[in-house]
Amino acid sequence: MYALTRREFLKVLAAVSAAAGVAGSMPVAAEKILKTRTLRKLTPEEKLELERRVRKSEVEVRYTACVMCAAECSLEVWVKDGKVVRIYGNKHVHYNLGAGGSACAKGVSSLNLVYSPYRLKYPLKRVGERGEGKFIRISWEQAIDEIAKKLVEIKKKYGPESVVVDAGDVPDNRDPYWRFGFAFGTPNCLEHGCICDTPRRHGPKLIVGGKRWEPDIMRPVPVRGEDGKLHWYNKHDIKLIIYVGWNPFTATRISWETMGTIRAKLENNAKIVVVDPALSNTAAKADEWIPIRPGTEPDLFAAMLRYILEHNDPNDPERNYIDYTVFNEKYVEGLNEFIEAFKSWWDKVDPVTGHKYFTLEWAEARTGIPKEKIEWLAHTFGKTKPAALVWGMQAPGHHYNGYVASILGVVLNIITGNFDRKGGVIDTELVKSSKGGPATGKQFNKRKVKRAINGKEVEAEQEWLNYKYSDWPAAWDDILGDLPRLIMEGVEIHYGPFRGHKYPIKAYIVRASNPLVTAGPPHKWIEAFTAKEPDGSYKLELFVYLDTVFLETGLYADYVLPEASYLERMSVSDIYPVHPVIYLRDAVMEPLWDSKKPFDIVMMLARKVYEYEMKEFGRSDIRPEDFWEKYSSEEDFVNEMLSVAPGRPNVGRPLPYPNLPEGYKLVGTPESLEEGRVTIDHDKKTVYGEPVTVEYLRKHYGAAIWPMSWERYKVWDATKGDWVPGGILKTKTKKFELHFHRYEQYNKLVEESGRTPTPWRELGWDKLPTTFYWFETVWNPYTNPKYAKYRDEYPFQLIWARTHHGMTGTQLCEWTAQAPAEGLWMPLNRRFRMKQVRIRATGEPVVEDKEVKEGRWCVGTVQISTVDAEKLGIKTGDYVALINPLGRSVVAVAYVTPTIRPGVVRMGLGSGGRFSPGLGGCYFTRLYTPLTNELTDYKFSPVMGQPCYADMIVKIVKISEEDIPKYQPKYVLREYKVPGVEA
Amino acid sequence: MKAPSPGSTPPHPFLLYLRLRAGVYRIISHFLLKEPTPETLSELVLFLRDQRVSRIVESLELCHNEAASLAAVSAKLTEELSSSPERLVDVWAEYTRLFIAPYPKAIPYESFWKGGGKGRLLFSASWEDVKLWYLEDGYALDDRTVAEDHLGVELEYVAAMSEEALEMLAEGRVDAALRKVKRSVDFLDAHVLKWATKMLKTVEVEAKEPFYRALASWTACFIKLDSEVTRKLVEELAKEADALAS
Repeated sequence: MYALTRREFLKVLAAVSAAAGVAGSMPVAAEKILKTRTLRKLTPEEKLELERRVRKSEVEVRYTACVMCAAECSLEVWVKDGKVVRIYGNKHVHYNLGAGGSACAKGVSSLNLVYSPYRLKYPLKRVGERGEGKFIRISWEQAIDEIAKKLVEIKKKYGPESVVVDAGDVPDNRDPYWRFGFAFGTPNCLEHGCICDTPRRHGPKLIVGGKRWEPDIMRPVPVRGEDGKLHWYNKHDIKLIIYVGWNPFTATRISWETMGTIRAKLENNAKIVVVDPALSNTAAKADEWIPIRPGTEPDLFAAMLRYILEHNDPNDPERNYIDYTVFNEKYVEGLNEFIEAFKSWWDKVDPVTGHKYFTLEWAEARTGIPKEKIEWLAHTFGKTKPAALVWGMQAPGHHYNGYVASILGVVLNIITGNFDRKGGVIDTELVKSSKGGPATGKQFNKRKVKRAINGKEVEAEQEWLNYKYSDWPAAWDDILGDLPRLIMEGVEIHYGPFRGHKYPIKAYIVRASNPLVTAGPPHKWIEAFTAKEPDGSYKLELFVYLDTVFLETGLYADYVLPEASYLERMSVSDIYPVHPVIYLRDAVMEPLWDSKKPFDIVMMLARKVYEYEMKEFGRSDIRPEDFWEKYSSEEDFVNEMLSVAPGRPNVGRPLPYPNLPEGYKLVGTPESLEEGRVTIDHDKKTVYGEPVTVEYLRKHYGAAIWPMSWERYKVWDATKGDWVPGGILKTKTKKFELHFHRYEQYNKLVEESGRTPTPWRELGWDKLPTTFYWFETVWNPYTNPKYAKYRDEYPFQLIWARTHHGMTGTQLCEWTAQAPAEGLWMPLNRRFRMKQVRIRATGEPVVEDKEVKEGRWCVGTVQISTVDAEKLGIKTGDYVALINPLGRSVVAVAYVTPTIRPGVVRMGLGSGGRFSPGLGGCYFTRLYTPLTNELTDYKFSPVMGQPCYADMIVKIVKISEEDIPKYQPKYVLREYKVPGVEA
Repeated sequence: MKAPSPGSTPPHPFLLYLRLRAGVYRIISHFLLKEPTPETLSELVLFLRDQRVSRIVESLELCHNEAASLAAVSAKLTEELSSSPERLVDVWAEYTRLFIAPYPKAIPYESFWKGGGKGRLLFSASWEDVKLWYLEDGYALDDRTVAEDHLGVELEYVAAMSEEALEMLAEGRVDAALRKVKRSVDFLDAHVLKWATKMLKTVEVEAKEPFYRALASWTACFIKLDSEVTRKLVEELAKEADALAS
């Protein structure tokens, strides 16, 4: 302690005086240094005003939509003096769990992300090698200037198509980025959907023009009553739900589905069957758990369909499976063609099992499910009405041949009359509210552009410059997984007017996405990001990463730009209800640090690109009137996104708006449509009410909700006095299309080019089959003869599942990271120290320095059946290495359990090997947790080009701690030190 | 109490000390908030090597070794930059690595560190306290890219309070000036010294650049001693008000 005595004090004064004697005054710090100011002296009036505001301590209640998982629930947020202090569920909307509304732990823990000390705060520029993690802070102006300049250079040298814009994981702010990309001149704009579950969605898209099917268990829903008024319908009608590889209780796509499943069971005695290799949380609450062999969902569905076709008897109430009021040629295009194609397999013998295709015996041998159980399932599904057969992203969605299951699943629901039936199954894509509209900028993709190809000038629409990155002409959701190859090898277009055109991929702009972890093998991404030309420059010349958090992909970027968090930016939600509903994702606080809203980032970039293009070309594809002159704020932009809502037809029974023409498309607020404040365009068959706007949504608790109805696949034609097919269906013929007209356009392209895409050739196809087809999945020694040779050496099928964390970035939130899930995410850590966050009773988030003892922290595991573990001498907590036939391996801690089918091992999506230190506990357990995609083959499903996440086999070796470096990928072992934490 | 008189009489030592203090905190604040440039480094060297500064620092034993070390390191770095300007990028990268990203070694926010391991997340209660503290003295953050509890902002506040006190003294408002200075010392004790020592120690340990090691070492030392010296000066001067006024 510097305790001055009186004498010392005098000495101090003397010393200072002596020093002062040198010149009589002190120097001031130099001008440049003194100029640094972050504080401002307030005027007395300003001070008073600020003090008044602080004293008032008023809490403002705002409404927004969550992003912590794909459910995107509506939230009530309390904001005090610009800071979010509480997050609750929005009790004013019915979509949230339960009628009263609530937010789950994930939603509440988003404060952990928003106020994280590891959040991206400033624009950064890479100054080391990619992946080294060496960055400097730069200004937004510098970042945008350099990026814009480079984009224009690339455009000039290689063409705008050399730029890929990946709008990432949260569709809410996809549109500004897409708008920029399309306007810049690249058709290569995509989002996460192409690596999500495209095989699962395939059947619905082909047959009804939709996407994801869910049971009709969202309750309550607003329904027109006989009195002409809207009432909240809160009764459950469904009698049977079969979830196949779908786990709403944990994996979460649809939050209402969890509550609806339980309520349907309790209130309507609905039977719940879960078909899944593992006893998921959903399975644990079901009446039946059927542990199927992975990748054999098509086999199960095919056997069910064959059984229904063979055993249907319209005269027997017990066997009256087929609903001929729907399954007839009036409503179904290509019905007989499909059935005949299906039956054409019945006499063929499967080389693997020796049984005839689609028989119960055949299905038993392949699925591992007793034939009696399959028969029971087919019969029960056929006779129980209403019912829903639903398949998820963990099964058909992750397999090479998921299309087959998806198509058969659709047919099973249609043939039994369950499609859009009350208590049946709903295509949520076809009934949810539209959004985006012209704001997405897709219209720019229709601009005519010219390219010189083999000495000839070719002119066509810009979109053909994508088509579709060489080998995926039918990938209507675009391609991301194959981007590493395209970066390495370049694009050669084989299809469409620009065939023969070649170009390299030179720029990758990615936001809110972590493809290095999620989009196929990480080593392939790292290879592509770091590949160099002979002159030492990177092949990928420009790599821009935008996000709120710093994930693995960002470590390789040239520019890292901080995007405002979901509480700081505005957009609309992308939810999956059974009728039109839309939420505002409102900006409830100002962006923290130097982060910017996506809208503002895009406008800055657009302006700068415009300037450089004007300088370089004397013209620009970016037109002021399409950007900064068109939108003065993000609210303007979001209003345009909302301008098409709900965009669904006035169809179904009870008719949503009896006062408006049936079959006409509805645009406008629920109230304006209800009260007839509309204009009707009979030519366009559209009713325009008052537009849904940000202001409207703010006045209505952040949500717009339109009525529910059923049987929306048909429209009453008053002139004919009959029902006609159509309604919500988005097909060429307006019918259910079992003749796949959608494929025809791609077949035409392929035929014109004379080149069959490689993935099709591998299946022996010269074109896409336009009716029922069948092919085996890959890396499955039990169904595909090609892989039978691996069966003994690699005896385990490896599958994935989602933990409650949902997204790879949200694992940053330790509050949810500590909740165990299904044996996939269990407290099996080794000791480490870290800052741990908790919420005080006052609501304040608190971070504490904590030693995490062994066995106290949840980590991503590998789930192994008790039977297999005994054979291998493995106990829960042992280190194991998983090795695939491709020579790739990962390390995991074993979780031994009877709740998984023997011969199958399961891991969580992105739940291990996370080498981004900003992920806290996840980072400190990376050495012994598995980065699942390391084992994924660089092979994609043949039509849509999605990675085949659940098609792999492995052998398992028990290892010691010393062996870890031998089996864990090197990039996972890298060290970054985080303050306050030691591994 | 009268104001210190202008004119030919040498300034009161307290004024000189306050000027030194304000200058030092401005400088530290700057280098915590901004990456260095050759110009700002040169100015830092000039400041530290100014005889008026060094004599006071030396005679008060105000971390003169640390100050000399920082001056030497900064001078050396300035020389290196004149012959190898590209070296600046390494220094900036080090600043980024220490304070910003990808995973900052020494997060410069009170919320993160405060309370010997029992602190709060960013923008939590200690941030709120700091914000209110500033407000009471009529200050508010004017740069939303940082938060109020950044060490650089906290030290800027101390500098600003010292500068205000100097202005008050010039106007003869001695009591008010002493209150200002005392309040800035109270702030050092209540906030800065509760966490910055640990954070700066982390910088000393983690920094690869000698400049940041030296800056952290001098800063930690100066804050601690300045708090003690200034508090004592204020206490004694309150008793010796006439001396200050004469």
